[in-house]
Amino acid sequence: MIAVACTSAYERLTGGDIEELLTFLRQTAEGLGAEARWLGLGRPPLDMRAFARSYGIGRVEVLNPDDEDAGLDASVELLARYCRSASPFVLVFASSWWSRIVAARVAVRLQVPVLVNVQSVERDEDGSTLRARALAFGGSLTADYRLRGGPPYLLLTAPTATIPQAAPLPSEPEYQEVHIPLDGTGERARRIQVAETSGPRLDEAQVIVAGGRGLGSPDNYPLIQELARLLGGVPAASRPLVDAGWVDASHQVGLTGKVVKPLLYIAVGISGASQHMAGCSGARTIVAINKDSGAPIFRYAKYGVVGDAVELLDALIRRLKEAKKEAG
Amino acid sequence: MARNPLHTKLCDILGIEYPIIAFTHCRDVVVAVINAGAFSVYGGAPRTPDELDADIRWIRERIGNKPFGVDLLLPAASPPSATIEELKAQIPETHKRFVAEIKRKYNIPDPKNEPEYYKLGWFSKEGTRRQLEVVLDHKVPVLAFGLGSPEWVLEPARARGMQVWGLVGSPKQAKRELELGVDAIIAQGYDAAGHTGYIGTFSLVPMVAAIAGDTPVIAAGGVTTGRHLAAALCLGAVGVWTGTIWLTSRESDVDMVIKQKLLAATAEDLTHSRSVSGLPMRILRNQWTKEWESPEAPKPLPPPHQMIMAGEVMQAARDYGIEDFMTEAAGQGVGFVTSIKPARQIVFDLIAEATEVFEQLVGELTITS
Amino acid sequence: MRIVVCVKEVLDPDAVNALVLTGQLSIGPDGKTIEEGAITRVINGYDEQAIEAALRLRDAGVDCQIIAVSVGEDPINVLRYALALGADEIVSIPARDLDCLGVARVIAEYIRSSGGADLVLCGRQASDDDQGIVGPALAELLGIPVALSARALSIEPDGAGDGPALHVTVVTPYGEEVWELPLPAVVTITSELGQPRYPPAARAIKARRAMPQVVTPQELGLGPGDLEPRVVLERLRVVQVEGHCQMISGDGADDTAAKLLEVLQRDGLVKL
Repeated sequence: MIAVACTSAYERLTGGDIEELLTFLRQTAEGLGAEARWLGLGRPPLDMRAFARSYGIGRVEVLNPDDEDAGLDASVELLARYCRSASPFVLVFASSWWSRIVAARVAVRLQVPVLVNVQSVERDEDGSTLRARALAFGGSLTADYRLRGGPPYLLLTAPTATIPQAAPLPSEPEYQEVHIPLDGTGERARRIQVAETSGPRLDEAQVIVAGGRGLGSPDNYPLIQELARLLGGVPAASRPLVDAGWVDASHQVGLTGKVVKPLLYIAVGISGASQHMAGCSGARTIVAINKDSGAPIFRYAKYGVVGDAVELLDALIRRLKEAKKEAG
Repeated sequence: MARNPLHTKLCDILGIEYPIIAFTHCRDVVVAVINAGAFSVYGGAPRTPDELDADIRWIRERIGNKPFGVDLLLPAASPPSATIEELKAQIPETHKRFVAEIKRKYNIPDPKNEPEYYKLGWFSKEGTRRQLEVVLDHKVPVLAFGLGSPEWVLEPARARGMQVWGLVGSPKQAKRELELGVDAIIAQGYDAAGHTGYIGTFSLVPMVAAIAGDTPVIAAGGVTTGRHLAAALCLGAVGVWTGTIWLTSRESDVDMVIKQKLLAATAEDLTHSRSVSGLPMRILRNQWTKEWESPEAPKPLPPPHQMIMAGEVMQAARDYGIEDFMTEAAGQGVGFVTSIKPARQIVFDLIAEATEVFEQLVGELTITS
Repeated sequence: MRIVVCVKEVLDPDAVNALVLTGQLSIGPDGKTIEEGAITRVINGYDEQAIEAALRLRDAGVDCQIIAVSVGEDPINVLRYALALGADEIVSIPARDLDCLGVARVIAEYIRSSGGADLVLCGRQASDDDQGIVGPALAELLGIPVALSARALSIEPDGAGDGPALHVTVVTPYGEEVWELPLPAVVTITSELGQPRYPPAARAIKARRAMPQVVTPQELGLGPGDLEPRVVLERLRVVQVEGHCQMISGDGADDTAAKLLEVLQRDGLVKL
């Protein structure tokens, strides 16, 4: 029985995303008693072998490694064929724009179930059905589902549901590249403008300072930017600030924004609603600054300060600037 | 072909779809209601002039050209500019002792934050003047006054093309406002939340409508359902002024604890008490109001001194989540408010219900668009 | 142009979340049904935006017929609301306990049997199950392309020389992209589309009495076997988060800031 994780050249998965996905894969495979494999579509954006090794994956296959982009129609066709020939028990994806399309379409084509926002799965006692836990209502509830009618069972992981954990012993993965020509049906959907990532990527940042409604006014957002700069990090914002037009959507952290896994996440004036926490709960250390001692964010944070957002930002910035001056 | 009974003169005057006015202290509600086709008046009294300025800009950014209003409080008799300390010094010993005893009995500490109620502009005429300047500078389309006469405001407002609306609780007050030449009268009946007069909405609205001539009359006090909206139009109003229904809306920033009290409350859970502001105010009955009803209680002080005492305790209740001392102004229609809804849904449901009522009376309304 | 918009009625997710935060959300004895109490049923926010997206195309001059479809036990309220907003027709497909692929199947059959669609719009996901499967599944069932999370759509009369095409601006976590799709196509809509309009009074009044066209799955040639759900909800639970937060405070903001920085420096997270 095999459990397969699928990634593609289209998705801009970070190292952290891969580590999470492979951990989920390995844990799922162990639970199912299955062999873990990693399937890449298109040109690998990072060193698949190295990651596979650290995360205990036994086999890496790359389909059409010369393809710069993993076209949607081509990917659906390749995966459908792969499933028919290799018969994976589960096919797991990281949550992305691409995977949401491809997984749903493959599920329809193969007439098997697909589930999104999955935190964990286990095989049912009878052996052929799967039990999966997924998030619901923006992350404030979990839903337990029973899936049947597979294999394969197609799953998209919930962001930050898994804490990356390298394998106790590195593996020696088999690595195989396969070229599969697809008969001339070109992609129907065509990307005519690619997203430009300007500035440091939020989802790769080690230090993030995020602002929320507690900042009070858009005039205070520069304080978030300044603190981020002084800490060598990247500024971010919760959804309400983006909706209010204070900040560009590319800075949004949350379930429908970016999911981040920094070492340090400082949440200023953010209440801690589940939609936001779904985006940042993977941070190693969360520091919460909020004037409401009852704010839910304090349940997720390692360090908390109850106080006025702007006053504390001012004070932190002042202190950091002084310290830099002293350091020369 | 029937006329649309819900399209009134007020809709034409303001350029709005639905003759519903939401009075609210929450700017998210203002925006949501206006973007749902109705009108909203923002309660600016608790805001400092700078905050009010920021609020107005924030609201404008989100509603574009659509009109909105600001409400300020201007009590007829208020002391000249005075500081909180000066006002505190004026409070009699008996009252200070009574409040201290309440705090001791119920373990209420001093508040963590400065009582929000201290920011109420109507503590001093000076404070209100500065708020007014902000509203005039922004040429807010509608300026409404509760609890007071806007006599010295009419000219500067008119000069800026603004409308001035007066909130009244009696035909006598209405007559005075009409003589001053206000652009609309909000006839707020006894049923209403907060500070009201003594005449019930059912009686007040037709009396005011009878003397208002061409001046639009807006009914207030207990309006929480489409049935009330339909009734208000029957009584001679061209629109309704609503408050309580927005307190539990999705967009409202009212504390969840209060929202749940409101959802569970009916008219019988309200009291008309002087213990909060010094003037009779319709609010959820709570431990504070009950203490002031006891035989040992002194007579509540007039504003602003009663508010100074109550403000401190209520802030502490909010800071520490002391539920028995948390309260909110609510109208007698509160029993009809039973769910947390988005503001858009509230507007839509009011219109749907009002239409239902009219159709029950006259049959299907076939309306040209 | 025939535009089919898929709408779903959901429990207001904001009310659900507000109750979860205060520990007041109740789940019924079956362990999976939320007790509605103070929670209202509303149109799924992203679906309301899908209707807005269709209306904007009409505003832009596209000659179109907008049909709102809903699958559920009794979706009459959301359909009437869709009509009030500006849909031309409303269709109710009564069904219960379907999974996402079942819903997609039913809608696809409706679309096929009613003369097809040039454009199919839905919200990017339902705010109750957060799945977002129906849109792409519909695309596969109908054999047409799909783009997700669109905030703007326009019809370009001559895309790639093959007749009218759709230009879609999509929102991804890495930024915006523009995709070109031939028609017919499926597009899912995200909230960056902006504020949806409110229903005009006359439409709101008329919609109150409107009855949707009812099409049953059986009429679409789908028997219970075809719609047997493969994904079945068994339990719903509120997420419990236990925290061990170390509160840091000092004498005023400056002192507190100093203490916080000290702690972070000690943990190696900040270098001074």
